[in-house]
Amino acid sequence: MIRRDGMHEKYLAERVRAEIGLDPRGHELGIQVRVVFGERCVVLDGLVATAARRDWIEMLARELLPDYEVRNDIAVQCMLEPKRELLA
Amino acid sequence: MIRVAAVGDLHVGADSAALWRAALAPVSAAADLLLLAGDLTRSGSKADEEALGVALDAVRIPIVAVLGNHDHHEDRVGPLVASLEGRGVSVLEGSSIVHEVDGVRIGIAGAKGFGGGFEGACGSEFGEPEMKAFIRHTRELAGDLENALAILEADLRIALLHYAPIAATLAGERCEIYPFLGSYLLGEAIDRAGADLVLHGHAHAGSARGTTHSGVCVRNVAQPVIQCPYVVFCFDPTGGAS
Repeated sequence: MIRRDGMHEKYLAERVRAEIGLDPRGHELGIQVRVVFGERCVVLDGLVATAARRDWIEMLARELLPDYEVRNDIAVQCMLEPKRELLA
Repeated sequence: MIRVAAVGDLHVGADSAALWRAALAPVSAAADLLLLAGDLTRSGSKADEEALGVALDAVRIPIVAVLGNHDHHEDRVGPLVASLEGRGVSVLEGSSIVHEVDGVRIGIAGAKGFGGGFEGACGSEFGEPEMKAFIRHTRELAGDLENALAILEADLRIALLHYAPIAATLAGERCEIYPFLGSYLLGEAIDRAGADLVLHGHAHAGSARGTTHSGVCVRNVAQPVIQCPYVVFCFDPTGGAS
């Protein structure tokens, strides 16, 4: 849980984003975090490799801000067929 | 036809080892070499190292890799490199290797690279020691890459990086983070030494294609950019890169 004594709420999103990058369960650095203050809601967005990583980030956000609703818009990246390029 | 497969930013962990093992299995039939452009693991931990071993286990062609920032996080680069080399993977850092395919010498010079930014908006070795160290690190790695490329005797010369050497393949990323994604010093080094192809990763929201100021072809092969397990670059040995 993030201690918020004296913290301006505008710093909250970056604190969550930093924790997602540092947490050893995933080290996801590319997640966007938006806090909708009026609705006490955190919106997570971005792209991760597996569904497990998406779920872990949502769980972490709930741990960090237990009094906020968490909206998880993170997508799992697709793995298309290998590509080929002829170089000239 | 010479076929070089490449991908970066695999970020392999225990949860994705099986996925990557299946995704990379066909590369042995599709290409002559597999190049990995850094961020092989989530954090370079022992668990990640073991997961990466599982992911690469089915690959039967030579693998050449550079490390990325994620691979450095746990401060255990030595054991990670030893594990990779024990599996036959060549890990480059300011060094090079030549593989011969059908009589054609394919030379790969590799370095992780580092940040600093690009022309008109980059850091310099000025001010606090920490700022000087940041840019000095990039300059030294760029110098090592240039030396490795310059002495590379090969028919086809490839520079393999994690960080970006040009800004063009960062298009799509927020401009504010360009200095953390690469440095023009890397591009300048490549242009001085010469290369046929440059491969990098790191910029997940970047663009796939660009060229250096001298016209060297640059490809961002970060997996989130290519959206597939690897891209196979094909060269016609009868006409150089064609």
